Amino acid sequence: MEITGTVTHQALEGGFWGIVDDAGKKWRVPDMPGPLKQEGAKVRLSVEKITGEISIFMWGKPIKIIDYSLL
Amino acid sequence: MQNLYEIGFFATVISAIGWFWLKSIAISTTFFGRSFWFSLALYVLGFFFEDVSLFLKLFLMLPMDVAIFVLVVILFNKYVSSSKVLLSVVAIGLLVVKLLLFDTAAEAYTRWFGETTAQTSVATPPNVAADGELLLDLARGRSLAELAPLFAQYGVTYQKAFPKLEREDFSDLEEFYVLNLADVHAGAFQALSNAIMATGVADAVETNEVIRIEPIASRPPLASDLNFGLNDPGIGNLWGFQAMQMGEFYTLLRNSGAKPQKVAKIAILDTGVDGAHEDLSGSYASTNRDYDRDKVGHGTHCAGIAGAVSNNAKGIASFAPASGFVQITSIKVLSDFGSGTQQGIINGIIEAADLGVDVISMSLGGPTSDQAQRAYAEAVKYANQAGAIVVVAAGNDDENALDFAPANVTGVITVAAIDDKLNKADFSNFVQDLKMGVAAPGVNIYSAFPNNEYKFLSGTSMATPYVAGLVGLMKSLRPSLTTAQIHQILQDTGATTKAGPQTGQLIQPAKAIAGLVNGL
Repeated sequence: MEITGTVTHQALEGGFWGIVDDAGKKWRVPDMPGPLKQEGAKVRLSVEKITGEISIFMWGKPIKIIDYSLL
Repeated sequence: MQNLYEIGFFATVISAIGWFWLKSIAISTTFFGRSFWFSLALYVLGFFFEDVSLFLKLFLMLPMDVAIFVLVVILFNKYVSSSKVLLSVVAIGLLVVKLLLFDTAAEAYTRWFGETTAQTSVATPPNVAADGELLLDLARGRSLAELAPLFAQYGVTYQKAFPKLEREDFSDLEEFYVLNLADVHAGAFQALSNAIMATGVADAVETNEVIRIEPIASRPPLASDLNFGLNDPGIGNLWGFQAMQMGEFYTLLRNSGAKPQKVAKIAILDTGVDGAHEDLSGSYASTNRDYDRDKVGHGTHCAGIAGAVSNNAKGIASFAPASGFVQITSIKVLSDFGSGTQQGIINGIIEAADLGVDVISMSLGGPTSDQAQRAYAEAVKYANQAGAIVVVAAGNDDENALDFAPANVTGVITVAAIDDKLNKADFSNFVQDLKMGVAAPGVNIYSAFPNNEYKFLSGTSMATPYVAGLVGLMKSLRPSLTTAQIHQILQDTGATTKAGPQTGQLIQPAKAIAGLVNGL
């Protein structure tokens, strides 16, 4: 699955990284790659959807990044 | 096509045996001759399409098949006259290896040489436990033995999912098993789940989900000048105390002379709790030393909200005005890396219930498409039967908590978060479609952190222990209260937020305990 969106850091529950895609959908990235940890960065991602994950953050749909590029 | 290889192989061997035997006693071999060629064609097709790597096919499966076949030909060929005892032993040995040990050999091969079969090209997703991928709810009157062929196919081992149950009559949890697929088949857990459901042996098969948390960070405070008559230095940071009219609450407790009927235990199911924290140690009861540490900080923060020692000139205050009302305990269900499994959490609920706790506080959860959540529901039923009230976070996605678990589980009180303006916190899920939703402060909440520190955190995780703390106090005053009764009191006495039904009623502790205090 391909996602184009903006990197965001959420302060909830102590803080975590996610992506808000161009359609406004939220995606949580449990293991955000270091180079993408830039608030507001525009990115294009190739991801795998992680279905059914439960997390204390409870924000967005969890995804695993397979490949990425900064725009 | 799934069993074509096995069917083809054994049909070929049996046809060859029949062919040679009939020929030896001079009876027509036409049928077995045709059967042999047809079976051989099936075998070739099955071998070609078998979902195993080419290396394993060429160097393990094919040599063994050829060896077995050659031995069978020799054994049943009348023109071979030498002793066949040794050949028979070798043939039987090879067949046993093929029937019983092939999966083990393939798994060992994969482990030693790192090659995976085609089925493992889909690895276990990070949200599914690698050791115990599935939870199976066995149907009444059925047996796992009925699944033996499927288990053999996927290399499944299994065990009771919740072996620590002390009271099996409280729920159906004794019918749950955790299934562990062989590593070479780990990615096929969904296919196995579908296949099991097709047999009717299981009422449900769920993935054993992994719980994961992230590092902790702080946010700036929202300060207040009020101290509510207490000497805890951090109490001015607790804006929620104003929203919950805690001054009235403490006054009512003081003036009524209310005495606890019991010390209510509140179990924090989380990353552990720093039980030695200066503002917790006076109200903390350890049940397991492994649970008394918290490298993440999340569990300690929640514990402080639910039951920090009040009026001790340290840190913050809680609903417990003095010792003797509530105790905090910890059940560590998440690892030091911030992850756990659904099975582990349910075992934590069972453990808490068996310890006789009065409140179980769970600041965890996540999105789900399964609104039934059978395993969670049975665990909550078990806890409820044991007298425990289960309080759960609504979730932080600004969506319907109906699609979040365990927030959507029958029998839990689900907590939405509000901000200091009594609006729904912009992140909080809404609870109007749940039977028992309530609201509590959840933005910039100041509480304990490991190593005698204090931090501000936001989330429905922080709103949840506020409710758990109040419920603990209510159980202390009236131990017989049930979940439904407590929710009804919170609903009837709560304040309407600006979001109305979206958040449920904001808890108002003084009004919630007024009836209990006056009834003493």
